[in-house]
This record gives sequence, structure tokens and C-alpha cells, in this order.
Amino acid sequence: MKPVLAIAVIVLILAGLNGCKDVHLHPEGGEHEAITTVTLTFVDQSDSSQTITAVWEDVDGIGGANPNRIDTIKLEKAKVYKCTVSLKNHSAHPPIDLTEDIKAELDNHQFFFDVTGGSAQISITDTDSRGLPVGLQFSLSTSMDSSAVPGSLTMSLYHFDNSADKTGSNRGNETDIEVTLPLLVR
Amino acid sequence: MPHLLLLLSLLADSHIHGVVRDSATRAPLHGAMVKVVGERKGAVTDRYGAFHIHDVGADSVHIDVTYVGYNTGHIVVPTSGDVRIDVLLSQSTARGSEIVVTDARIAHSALPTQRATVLSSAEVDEHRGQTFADALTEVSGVTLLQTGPSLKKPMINGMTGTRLVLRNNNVVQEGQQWGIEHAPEIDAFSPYRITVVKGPASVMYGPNAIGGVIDLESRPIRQDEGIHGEATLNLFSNGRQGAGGLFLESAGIGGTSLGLRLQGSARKGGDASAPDYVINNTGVQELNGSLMMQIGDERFGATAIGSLFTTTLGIFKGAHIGNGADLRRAIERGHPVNPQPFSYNITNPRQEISHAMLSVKGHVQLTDESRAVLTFGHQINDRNEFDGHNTKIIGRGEDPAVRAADSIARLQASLNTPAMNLYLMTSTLDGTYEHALTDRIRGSAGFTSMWQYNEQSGKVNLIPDYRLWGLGVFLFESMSYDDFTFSGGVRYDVRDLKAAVVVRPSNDVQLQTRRWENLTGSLGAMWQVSDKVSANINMATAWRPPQVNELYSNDVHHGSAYYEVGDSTLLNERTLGGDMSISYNETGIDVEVSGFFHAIGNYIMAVPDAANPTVTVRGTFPTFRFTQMNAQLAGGDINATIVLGRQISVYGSTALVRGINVDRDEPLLFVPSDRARIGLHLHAEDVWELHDAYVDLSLSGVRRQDRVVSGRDYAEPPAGYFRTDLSIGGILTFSDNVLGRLTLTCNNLFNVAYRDYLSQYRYFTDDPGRNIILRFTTSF
Repeated sequence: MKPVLAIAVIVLILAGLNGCKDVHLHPEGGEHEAITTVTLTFVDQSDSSQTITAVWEDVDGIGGANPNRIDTIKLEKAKVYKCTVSLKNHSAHPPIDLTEDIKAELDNHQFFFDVTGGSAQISITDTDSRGLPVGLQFSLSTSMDSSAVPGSLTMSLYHFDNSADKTGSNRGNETDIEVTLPLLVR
Repeated sequence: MPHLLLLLSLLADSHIHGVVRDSATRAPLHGAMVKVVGERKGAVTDRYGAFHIHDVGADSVHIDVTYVGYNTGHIVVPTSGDVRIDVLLSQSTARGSEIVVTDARIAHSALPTQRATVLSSAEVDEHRGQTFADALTEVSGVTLLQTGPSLKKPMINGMTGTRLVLRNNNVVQEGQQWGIEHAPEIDAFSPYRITVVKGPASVMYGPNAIGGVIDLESRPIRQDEGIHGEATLNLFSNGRQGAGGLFLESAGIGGTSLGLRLQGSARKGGDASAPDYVINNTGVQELNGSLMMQIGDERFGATAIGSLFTTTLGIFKGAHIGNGADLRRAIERGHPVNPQPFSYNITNPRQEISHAMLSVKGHVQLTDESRAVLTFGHQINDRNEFDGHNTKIIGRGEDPAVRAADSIARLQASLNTPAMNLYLMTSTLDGTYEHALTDRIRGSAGFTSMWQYNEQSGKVNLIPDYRLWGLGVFLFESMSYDDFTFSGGVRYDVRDLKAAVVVRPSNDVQLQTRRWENLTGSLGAMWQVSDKVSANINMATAWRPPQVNELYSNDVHHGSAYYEVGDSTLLNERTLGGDMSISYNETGIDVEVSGFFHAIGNYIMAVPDAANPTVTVRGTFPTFRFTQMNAQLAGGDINATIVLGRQISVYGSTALVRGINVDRDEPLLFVPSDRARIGLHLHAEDVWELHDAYVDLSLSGVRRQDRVVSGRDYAEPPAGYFRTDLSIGGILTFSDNVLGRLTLTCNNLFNVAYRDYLSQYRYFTDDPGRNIILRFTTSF
């Protein structure tokens, strides 16, 4: 067989092999391993029956639509609240509680809370193995001032690859979580 | 390397020197072989086409001048004292007299009236860097869009990525070109000759050649008896990198016309260094190989090349950030946080890429004037990108110890699972029929076809699964009349895309199809005004369909902390433009001035959507949406070389590009800033055991890009900078035996800290500092 003919045959066979494949639907799509739901719970220290929860939720994960639910945190003035953070992935079935991951690696994580509007002050109450703050638990005291100034609470979580980089005051260079909820103290 | 032998004889005292040029364009030819017939004497032309042969004995000598793709020149030179000759070589045509099965004709890369810049094997060798693209910076108007030292994308006159066609061994390279951090998958040791066509070449190469073509060719197998080969070693001080390439070849195997070449190369480098700190996790590991087979002759034959490129490369961790606020802090800090000492380790984030390619090309000479070529290509590109973000994973199990162990195991598994895997498979079949209608009119008719299939998996939604097919038919002719050459071409293309798109926010998958059909055309003329002056002018229209990422991308680019959203309704781009150049060439003076203008309708660009940032649990990201606009790109470059004496020449070049968004009357993003380069080249015949020794000192100046919309980018463009490069080299001999070609280069001689506007890492770190490169090539 002449070489050119041989090449032509090889070409046709290879082209034929490819031609059979067609695009198929990818059922798993692209799903981020993400936190869909952040829940903050505020318990009144003077009256533990008074519990307030605020939810930040983005059910379709990172990207797509913007968050579907961002609650306003409504607190009373001149009170102290004991607060806890809960992180869940509701896009998984069953939902995954990611708070447990942070608990397993306390030395590598730290939350930071930034309040605008001046109506509240926050101090972290839990610590890691070296006594450095973590922030899954914190206490929040609202101001005495009666004039209600609308503000916001931004909660950020930083992950430190190397636990030695965590000093208690510096933020990491890679943000895992950063959510902002409106805050109203009346 | 017997052809490079320069034997010294003390008896004779005649010298021959001169310049070898292209007979049509008068461009100097670098790497042409000048041999004295019947003697072991000769030279290879330098970058100015110049050669020197010393101590020629006889009264008159026969000289053969050979250059791949050109007809061999035979000259009889009377020898008495210093003889100066100018050699003009004509490009070999379809009925070329060469016996080598190369068909490496420059005319293949562009229309005959289009100016192509060729980097000869000697230039490719002298400037070979960590990636194949490094050598391209020798061509004015070509810049590199880079993400660290190992990811470099060539940019021609402000256009890059899928606006350029990259041909590798006769096949259009189809890799993943979806972002700035996706560099072409090419073994730096494989190209033997590189041709750069600045300006649209869509008639020949189809829609994506809207900005130009880069054509990489493998060396034809040497037609000598026995086993030959070449070994190359490259050592880089920056990143403590070593790379080596080796090939072995033999022709006429078993008494047939069969030739074989086995080639391989390997590279290992660690963290690159800026002048003041180490840029961590920028190492690279590469392992490549290829097998080439050549059979038949000029009349009837085939060439097959199978190659495999594999690389693992680190992404600078400091550039892999969480959200817009991290980016702001990184810019404010001005340097990487806590740089670690040098290491060869590559950790997450990293990329693991392999590219396998098969290229089979067959040709048959039908008549003296016509020839048919059929090329089949098959490529598999497998790209894995590993995320550096900690993945939140909980161990399973009741017992805390079991749970902790499980959690570590899951984390490890997660780090070893790519966040994104793209598997791209492309088959192409191209055919051309080269013909001569009359003595004056020659041309080529042909078709190109491609079939592409992509599979993606992982957590990232940048590119959907898709399949794409395309078909194009073209015809171009060129006519020579007196001092003029005219060319014209026309092409029709159809492309059909079917993609499985994840629709947000429901995350349902939907099949979407698109089809584009278009005509492309070009016209050009070349006028040989006198034997010293020539002028070219070309006009072309070209188009480019929107790419898959521009249509369907819907995810965050971690390296740059922005959310990129495609638009499935984008239309194809259409450009109308032209370029012209005038060149003046005489012995010792080469000057070329060229300019271009492209009006691009529906130019596709990712534009920030400031009013709608993407809010996620990781914070707020700037949103970029692929949008269309009317744009204009214009510019030009000047190149000049002046030979001041037998041993000294100076050269200079400058390149300017302007990009405008016409709709909003504002500058385009990522347009290279103005740059210029001047250099001094000293050439000495012999320095101790170094023959054809040279010293080359150049100074490059890059201006700050001040044509930007203030506040649009995260950071204002970096300051301009000057960079000095020094190179010395020559052919190393030992008692009259050629050992090989040696060059020692020092890039960024003064270790200047700078950031280039086209570097993707400029927000986070300085560009790499001084790099001393030792290159040695030996043939046997």
C-alpha cells in the first residue's frame, strides 16, 4: 500500500474513533465545597429564655445568585449577649455541620468581628490550645445610648496553614469567610 | 558539528566576509551555512546575516550557501586580500531543487506579501529560556503576559490567547487557553525555528488567527549516514534551575528513505527570586519526549511526530487569595507576607498538565508546479488545577481519635484531588493543494477541519463540557509582476458548539448550541522600490467566535480574586485592519518601520461590573462580565541594525501599541506599555578557543502604562523600568575540534526590582531578579 494511502486510512480510523463521542450532561455539575448557611445565636445573659438568631444564607453556594437571606440582627440596648457561631452546608444531603471542622483545628483558625455604627462591642470568649482567641463563642454588649444607629456586623474567618502564623491579632492572607449582617440596637 | 569548523592555516592570508540575505525582502538570514567547497572551512551567519571566513588559501574558491527553505547558492569567489560578498538566496518554491524533505518554506506561515519574522535555530538556541516563549521577546511587538516565571503567554501587538494561532509541528496547538494563568503547553527544547506573523493570517489559519501566528517547526532529520544527535544543557541561577535536552537521529535506515529521531528533555527548577525575597512555590518540573519519523522523498513522502509534554508547576501562594479584601491588603503591604527560604518543593496551589500530540503529514508532488499536502493532528490536553484553599472536611466516626485521623486523611485526599480537571481532545485534518496557474501566479487552495471535545470535573465552573467542530475552505493566490507582488485570499468557515452549561442559581444542566459562519478575506502588495528599499501593505478582515469561557464561565479566578461571568449571547468578533511596512536594506544597514491598525467590532473583554459585586460567604468579589464593544488597536514598531565595522554593530527597536474602547472612549485593559531596546554587538573572530565569539549588551526601557482608566484596576500600573542584559558566547573548540556552542547570559544584570504591567503577579511581588543562564549545545 502506498504510504499516502496508509496515512489516509489511519487518519480516517482515528477521526472515526473520535466522531462517536458526543457531549454528555454532567450530573454533578460544579459544586463548591462551601458553607451555605451562617447562623449567629444571641442569648440574653440576664434572661436565657430571650434567644435571637440571625441567618446569612446563600443556598446556591459561591457565585450564581447573591445570598438569598441576610437577616438583620435586632438587639436590645444595654444588654450583654452570649453568642455562638454555626456554619452549615445545606447544599449537601444530609447537610454538613462545618462548625465541627473549625473545632477540630482551633489552632489554625480565628474569627474577627467588626462592628460599625458604634452600638455594640464584642469580645471573643473561647481560646485554642495556646490561649489564643478563636471566636466560635463571643460576648456582645450593646451600648447604653438609646438613639438607635443602624450599623453592621462583619464576621471574618481566617485560616492559617501554619498554626505558628496565628498570633491572635493578625489576619491571615486568605479569607475563608467574610459575611456582613445589618445590626440594629433599640 | 563539522560544518562549523574553522581551521586556522598560517600560510594563507585571504579573508572572505559578507552578508546573506533573502533575495525578495533583503532581510538578513541568521544561521545560514557558508561552506568552502572541498575544504573543511566555513561559517554560520550571525543575527545580521554576516559571516567571516579567514585565511582562504586558493586563488579562487567555490562557496556554497545553504539555508533551510531556500535554494542553495553557489558562488565562485576570487581570493586576494579582503573580499566582501553579498549573497542573495531565493526562497525555494514548489519545484525546489532541494532534496531534503523539509518543505519548511517561510511562505507557509504567511501570505507572500506579509512580513514574517523568523527566529533561526541559532537564535532560538541563544535565547532559550524557561519557556519557549522567552525567545519570542527578541521580536519587537511581541510581549509576554505572565503569571510567574513558568507561565508565559505570548502577545503580538496587544493580542493574546485565543486571538493568536500557535502552530506546533504543522498542527494548530489546542490547549486550554481560558485564562491568563493558562500558558501554551510546549517543550522549550522542541522548536528549531520560530516564525512570527504579526497581523491577521486568518485566510490560512482560520478564525483564531485574528492577531497573528506563531509557527514552531521541528528540525528536519539530517540526511547523513550513521547516528547523529545533539545535546543541550541550560542552567539558570534564578530558581536554581537545570534543564537538558537530547536527540538522536538516523536517516536511510535499512537502505530505505526512513529517518527516525528520538528526543527527550527534562527540567527542574525551584522558587524564583525577586531581588529582595524568594517568590515561594514557583518551582517547575517538566518531562517531555517525542519521536519523529520521516519517509519518502521530495516527491512523495510523510513525516510523523508524536510528542508528550508533562509539567507540574507551582502557583505563588501569595497570589492565591480569598477575596477582594485580601487582594487590597496584599497590594497595600507591597511585598509577600513572610517569604520562606528557597525550596524545590511544589505545594498547592499547583497545576499538573500533560499534552500529547500526534502530527502526521503526507505530501505528494503532482507535477512540477503542484503539490498536495495532507496533515492530521490529534491532541489530548489534560489539565489539573489543585486549589490551595483549605477544604472544610469533617472526619467521620464516633471515637475522637478515629475522627481526627479520618479528618486528616480526607484533607490529604482533598488536596490531591484537583479543584478543576479539564480534559480536552482535538482532532484536526488539513489539506492544501499548492499550484502555479501561470509562471507569475501561484497559490494554494485547501481546507481545515477540527473536532474538539472537552470534559471537565471538579468544583469549579469555569469551562463546561462541550464539543466543537469547525470546517474551513480557503484559496489564496499571489502574482508577481515586475517589482510588485500582489496577493489575495478568501476563506469560508463554519463552527458549531454544543455545551452542557450549569445554569445558576438552580445548578441545573442545560444543553446549549451555537453556530457561526463567516467569510474572511485579505489583500496585499509588496513593492521592491529599489534594490535597497521595499514596501509591504496588507489589508484583511478576520473574525473570531466567542470562546467557551467567554460564553459560559461562571466562577471565581482565585489567582486574581475576581468573579468572571460569561454571556451566552455574545456574537463573533470581526476585525478590519491593515498593516504596512517599509524596509531599507543595504550592506551594514537594516531598517524597518511598520505600522498597523485594526478596528475590531464586537471585541470581547471582561469588564468590571462595579454596581453588582458578587457576594459570597467568602466575602465580596469584584464581578467581571464578558462584554462586547467596538475597539481599535493601533501601533507600530521600528527596528534598526547598523554595522559600524567588521567587529561592531549597534541595534535598536521600539514598539508602541494603543488600544481604545471606542464606545466609551477609554483605553483597553492589558495593553503593553511603550518599550524600546538598544544594544551593542561585538563580534570577534577568535578569542582563545572560542570562535565566532560575541558580546552583546542591551538595555531595555519599558514605560509605565499611563493609558488606563484610573480606579478600574485594583492597583495603579507599576512604574516604568530599565533592564540590562548581557550575553557572551561563541563556538568552543579544543585543539581544532569543535566541542559545541556556548553562551553565558545575564538577564537583569543589575538586579533591578521592577514589576511589569503585563505580569499577573504585579499586585503581590516584584518580577524575578538577576538570572545568569549558561547554555551549551553540542552536536555529534
